[in-house]
Amino acid sequence: MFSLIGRVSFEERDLADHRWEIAYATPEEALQRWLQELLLDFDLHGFFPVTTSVEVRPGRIAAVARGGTFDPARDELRSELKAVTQHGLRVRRTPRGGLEAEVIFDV
Amino acid sequence: MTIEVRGLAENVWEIPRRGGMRVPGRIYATARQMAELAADPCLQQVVNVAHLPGIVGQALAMPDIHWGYGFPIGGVAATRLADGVVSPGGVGYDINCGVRLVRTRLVFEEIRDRIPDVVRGLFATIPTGVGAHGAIARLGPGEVRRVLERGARWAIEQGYGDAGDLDHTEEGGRLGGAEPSAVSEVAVERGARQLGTLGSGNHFLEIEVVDEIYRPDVAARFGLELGHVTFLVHSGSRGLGYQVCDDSLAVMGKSMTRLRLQMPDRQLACAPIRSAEGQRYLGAMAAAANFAWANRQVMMSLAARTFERVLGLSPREVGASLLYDVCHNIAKIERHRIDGGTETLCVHRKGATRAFGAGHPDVPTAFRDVGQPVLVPGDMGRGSYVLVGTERAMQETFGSTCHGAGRVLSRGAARKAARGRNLVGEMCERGVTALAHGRFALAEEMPEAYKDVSEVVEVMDHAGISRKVAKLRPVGVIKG
Repeated sequence: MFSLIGRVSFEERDLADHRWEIAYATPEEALQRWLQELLLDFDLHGFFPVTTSVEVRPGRIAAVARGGTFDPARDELRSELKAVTQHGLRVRRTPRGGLEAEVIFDV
Repeated sequence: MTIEVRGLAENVWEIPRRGGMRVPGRIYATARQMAELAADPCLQQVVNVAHLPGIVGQALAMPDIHWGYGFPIGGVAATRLADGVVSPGGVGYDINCGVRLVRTRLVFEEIRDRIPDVVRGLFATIPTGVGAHGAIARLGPGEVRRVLERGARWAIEQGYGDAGDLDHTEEGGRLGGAEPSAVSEVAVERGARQLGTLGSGNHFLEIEVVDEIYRPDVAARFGLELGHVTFLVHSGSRGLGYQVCDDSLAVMGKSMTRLRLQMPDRQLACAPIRSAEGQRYLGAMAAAANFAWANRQVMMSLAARTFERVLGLSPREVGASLLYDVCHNIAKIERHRIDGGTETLCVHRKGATRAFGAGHPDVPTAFRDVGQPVLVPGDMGRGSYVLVGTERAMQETFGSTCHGAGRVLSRGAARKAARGRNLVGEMCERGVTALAHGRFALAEEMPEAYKDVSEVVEVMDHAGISRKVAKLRPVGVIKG
């Protein structure tokens, strides 16, 4: 998702953690709401995540994103994402026990 | 799945009613365009829209149709106020994305050499691109809500333009029924820094020259003269509008189960117009529409000042005056003739432009005897059109026509096609000075990524829905 938005070059000292706790009814809702939060954090505060992790619990996810503040003078902008859509939104278990997701953004 | 399509007349096609469709679909397109659409999922979207409760007439598609969220872009659907629904997918994320065309007294041949300077001035003055902000000071939440209430008038009260501009703006630049309290705090926060910003994607500010005139009498009424410089602003409600759409989809997605509404596609989340959810969306959407009108009003004024500063001319010498401002992503409550009577309808126009004919009371007084100006931007290499609405549009399309060229290449495919090319140089060879922020902005928006807008407007002209008045040739563009 953020590779569509831009490319950054942060130093380790620039990085901070942002955290979210999100309630959900379906895995798709969890994914969409979390990505919406990430997009909003970028739009409002310029927070650009470089690594993320999610702990999935029944009815709730705990997500952490590590990143820095986007600097237009230093970093590269690519595309504006308007929204994280529900179109074709899918989350499924892989045979090896992981999670695989498909999401379409409105650009 | 193959969708049955049959020809009704030259360039007019019907998808017959079947299954849960409440009305047939109707598509305006050439035979060649229809052949290209045969395998396109947007035809299924026309079928899906025909399932909306309370839809009347036909689920309409203009020749610039392409796939969109829920509704196709280039789609029009009218639903009865009494028992119909309103769908945020029928408006789109960028609420009141629209276009305004500004005329000037400048003659292109006299300032031709200064166009690159003007483009650089515009690029420095009007924030473009992802997350752009800063054209005017960040607004507090209370001030944003005043913008949502007052629309373009708010901008004029701050010194951006003059009151006469409102007469040349659809709905006077302020859609009635706006409910700023229905707009979330997050949406307000997203809008606080973005007033007077162009944004990215297909948004642009373009300097254009009146290149061809097809109806001299109407062009004269529109104040368009061959060889004169105009500029076109294409933008919308920015992050505020996106958030209103997101918030509304979440609410309606949940209420559909309670209201027992079933649609073939969950992107067609909707609510009865008269329900609390429907009214709340219409109020928030109108507020976002007003933000968009204020946004375009501010940018028009900033652009006019830039022409004056760069060329060293007075406001009178530049003579920037608004021809018209139209929205092409909106749902509006309008009266239309249907089945021999007149009914109040909610007309969804998603990537479609209002095109009211002569005599309609909503057409500005200055143009009422000829019809509403319709602005159809093309791609940045091939230019744009000024059309005029017709009575035929009132009879066939709820007073609607096409809105642009429509994409033929996805953004990814366009980037791939542009790899290794010097697009700035190519545009320069076409006589267009182009500046953009984003690395891929020019690649994604290059001319071959779009259908030929001439073919699109020709279909609607031939069908008598909107008539060609003038063609504008681009000479300078800034993009996000």
